[in-house]
Amino acid sequence: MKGFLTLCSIFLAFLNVCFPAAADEKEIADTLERVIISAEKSPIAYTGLKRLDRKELIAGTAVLGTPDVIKVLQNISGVASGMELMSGLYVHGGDGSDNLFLLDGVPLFQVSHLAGLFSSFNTDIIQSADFYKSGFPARYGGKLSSVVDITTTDGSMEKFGGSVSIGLIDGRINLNGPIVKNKLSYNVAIRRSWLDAIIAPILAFNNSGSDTKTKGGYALFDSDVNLAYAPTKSDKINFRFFAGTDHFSYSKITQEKYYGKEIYDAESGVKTNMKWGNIAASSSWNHIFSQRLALSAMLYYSKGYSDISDWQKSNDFSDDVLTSGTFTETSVSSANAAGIKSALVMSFKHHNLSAGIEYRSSWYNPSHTKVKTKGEDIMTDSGSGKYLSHEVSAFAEDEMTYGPFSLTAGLRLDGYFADGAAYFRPQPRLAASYNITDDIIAKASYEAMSQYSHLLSSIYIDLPTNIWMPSTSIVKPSDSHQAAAGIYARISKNWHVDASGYYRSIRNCLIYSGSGSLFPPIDKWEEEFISGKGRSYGAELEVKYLSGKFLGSAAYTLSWSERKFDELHSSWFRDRFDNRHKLTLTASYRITENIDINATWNFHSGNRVTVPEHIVNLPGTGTKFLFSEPYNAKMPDYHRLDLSCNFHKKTKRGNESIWNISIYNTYCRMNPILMRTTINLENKPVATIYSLVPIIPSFSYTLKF
Amino acid sequence: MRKIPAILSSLLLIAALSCERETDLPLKPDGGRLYLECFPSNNHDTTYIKLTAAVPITEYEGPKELSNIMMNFRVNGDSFAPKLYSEDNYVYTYIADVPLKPGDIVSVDASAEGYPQITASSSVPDEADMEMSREIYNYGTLRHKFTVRRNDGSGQKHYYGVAIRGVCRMEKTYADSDRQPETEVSYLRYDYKMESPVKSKDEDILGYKTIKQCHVNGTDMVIFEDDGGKTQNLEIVVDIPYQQDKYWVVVEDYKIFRRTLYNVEMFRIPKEAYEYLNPRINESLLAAGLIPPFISNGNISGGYGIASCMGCTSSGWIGNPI
Repeated sequence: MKGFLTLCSIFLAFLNVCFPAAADEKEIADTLERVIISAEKSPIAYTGLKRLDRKELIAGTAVLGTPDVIKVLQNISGVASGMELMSGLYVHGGDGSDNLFLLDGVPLFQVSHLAGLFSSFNTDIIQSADFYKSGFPARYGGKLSSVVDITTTDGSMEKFGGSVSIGLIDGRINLNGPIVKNKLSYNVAIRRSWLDAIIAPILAFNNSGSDTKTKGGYALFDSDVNLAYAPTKSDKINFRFFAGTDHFSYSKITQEKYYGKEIYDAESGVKTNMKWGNIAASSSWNHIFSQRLALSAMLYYSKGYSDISDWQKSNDFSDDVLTSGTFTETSVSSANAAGIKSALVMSFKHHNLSAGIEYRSSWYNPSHTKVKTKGEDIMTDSGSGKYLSHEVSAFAEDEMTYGPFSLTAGLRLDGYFADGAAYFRPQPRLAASYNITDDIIAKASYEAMSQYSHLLSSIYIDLPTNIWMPSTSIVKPSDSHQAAAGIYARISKNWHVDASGYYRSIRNCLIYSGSGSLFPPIDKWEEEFISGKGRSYGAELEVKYLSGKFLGSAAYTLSWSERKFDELHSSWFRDRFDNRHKLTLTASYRITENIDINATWNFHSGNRVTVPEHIVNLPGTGTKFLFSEPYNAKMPDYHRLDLSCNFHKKTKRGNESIWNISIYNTYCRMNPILMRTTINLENKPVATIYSLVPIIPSFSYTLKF
Repeated sequence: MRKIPAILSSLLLIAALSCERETDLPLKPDGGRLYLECFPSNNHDTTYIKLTAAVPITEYEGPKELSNIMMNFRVNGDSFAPKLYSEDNYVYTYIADVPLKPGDIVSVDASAEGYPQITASSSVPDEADMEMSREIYNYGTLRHKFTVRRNDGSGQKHYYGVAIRGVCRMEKTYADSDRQPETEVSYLRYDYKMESPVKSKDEDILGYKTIKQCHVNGTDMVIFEDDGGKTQNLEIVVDIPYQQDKYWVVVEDYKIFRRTLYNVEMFRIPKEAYEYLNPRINESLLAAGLIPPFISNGNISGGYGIASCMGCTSSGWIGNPI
């Protein structure tokens, strides 16, 4: 039985699914999970793994009533959150585009909405999220800094259930249940914002009585579908679909009248539509051959896309003739990946072996623009070339356990082919742990990671104009090496301490320098990347207090993150999110069976900005600011307190209802988002700080059935 | 495209909701630095060197005087002492009269009391591999065409500058043949039109352009970049307005003939100079940390500024069509 459980545990970690765990069979699932976790190597024995279940993911403060996975991950030590409110993850000195986001094993290109304000992951359907910042298992590859591996829940095989949630700006529905009892189930989760519905009456009021009608709005839409089929006790087949979409529209139309021999009615104006997001689909098969052998196979497709269109109409009335001209421009770009992967897991007394292969084909359509005049006459139909890449990976890993000593040794081999270029990257992965006593574990890890796709982003905001592009013969893959070591100690029943340190180096660290436009110049994008080096090191300390009613934790990070780009500066300079100190305090207290409160206090050293250090006056040129070093100044420190309170209640029908009240930035600290140096009226240089986010109270209501 | 205003409107809306406050400058610069600017080139015997003080931003009250200035100008290791040419609002302009040729190594160093010494070195680039032709485009406009060849296949961008200088000569001759002719010379500034030879899809809403007009060595110059050799024969067109040479004044005692001469120069510019003259700094985005910190430091060690040679091809002085 133990061997079977161990196999299940590896399988669970590997495939994220072992049994068709029922969404509402919480007790059974919890029990199973406890059993499994007790059998497998515990997450605390890894240097950089955080395993977050759904409870932990929704426990934090919900900004505008929407719980957010990435904002929970931002609280973890070693992670810089970047700009306030954005869904940035800058892990161990890495960049925001260096993270591998997997939704049920499918890589995603676009994981956030509204320029990064919300993540695309709907917490209603999430079962757990594994977050790796070091000690990456060999099965993960393709990105440099971190892995966010999110698993969704299968629908119940037994009975119908679900939930409905209403927040300030969005609503969510989750429905799950059997289609064929104990054989086939579904789990569907949908989220939609209603900012457009809020804005519509305001615009209608403004438009009343005017010949010019302005319309517009923004909506985000997420849908997750998970069909699970269990033909036998040893087999499980899943079909999953995900779509995360943003839609922005704006129009300003004027009704015009022209008086000639007769009266002519016409309209003129502009319309803009922007739609962007990610869709993903997969089908997977998991089969357990015996207590010692299991197999998984998966086919997947993922597409990040952006679709932008403009329409403009103008009229000309002369010589009693009305002539209308229309102009339409559409610009489409996408990044696509389709792949197949399979893995085999074997369990022996001291060894848990896993091995697998993956083939992934990615094709990129960076830009395709059509311009039309009135009618169907195509004026121009231009687009950049398509880029195709192939990635073949094989890995093998052995988790060896001999008494208190455990070693996970793995090797991942990547072969990458694109544009006449071929790159081969052997990536060793090692993770060791030693149980010094029953309560103290020493651990260490080393890994090499490589990244073959790069984000073209003119400004560091998650915009629909951002484009993913592959490594080519000119733009080489980025490589990272990281070593980490730490110690975990359970000091008492309630107190747990986890301390670790890391050193990381990045080779061929890339900066996209095409900052001349919001739209990256896709015709010469390879020339716009500049290459450099990166290094990051630091120490992390986490202290947890766990008791029945009270859960508290403190996570502190002391870190350095530096870059060296010869084109920017002659020597190493600090990176923009080189936050020297970071401290996150969280507390959760269950006041009664029905009421719990949560508090999170975040502090980090200010983000770095580039400000002028000297001034010179030149005839004909005037005052000129002079900069000595990139990111030479630190903005004021960042801190904020978030509070939330949940009221649980049983309805008359026996369902659970939850009111959540959240306050983001409770004491309204106006944290700086940018700092600019200017000359004031007295001809003195001054620094001006701009802040954006005040206190944000919000609420949400959830009904579970 | 029309979507840009939509995006910018959204960003402006966010900006409008933000609040701002003044704060102390979070810097403690350790004293002032020297700022030097010079662009030596072949085909120009005189190099102008500007030197002034860069004042720490936290102590800024205006330009500062420099004292005990020492300057050295070396070509291939041979020293020449530049002479002080002018001083304007504590900007000291020196001149060095040394002919240069491609491949020469030029070094400049300077010091002043209370400031760290600065040094810089640069070599004179080869002239652009090019042909030059001209034609009357329209009445009153001369069209100069440059065909710059790129066959090196390096993929690296090259940078260029075009400068046009003109002189107007008022040549006075007397009816009395015993009197010597007189000539009055004045310098002309041309308002010439030029477009980037590389068609770029960049929309320069963030302020950066691949072509820029700037002031170099006392002359207006348009600087631009190529596409790294993808276009092997780069066609550059410059339209120069002209007025026909003609008698300006004809009276009984004397006649004045107005003659215009102009000189077109094409420069090969090192990357460091191009990036210095056409920096990619959008201060708002830089302040927000939203773009890479391209801060265009130049090549002056110990201070600020640029001392970068340029390779010049000159048309020589050309007369206007008659």
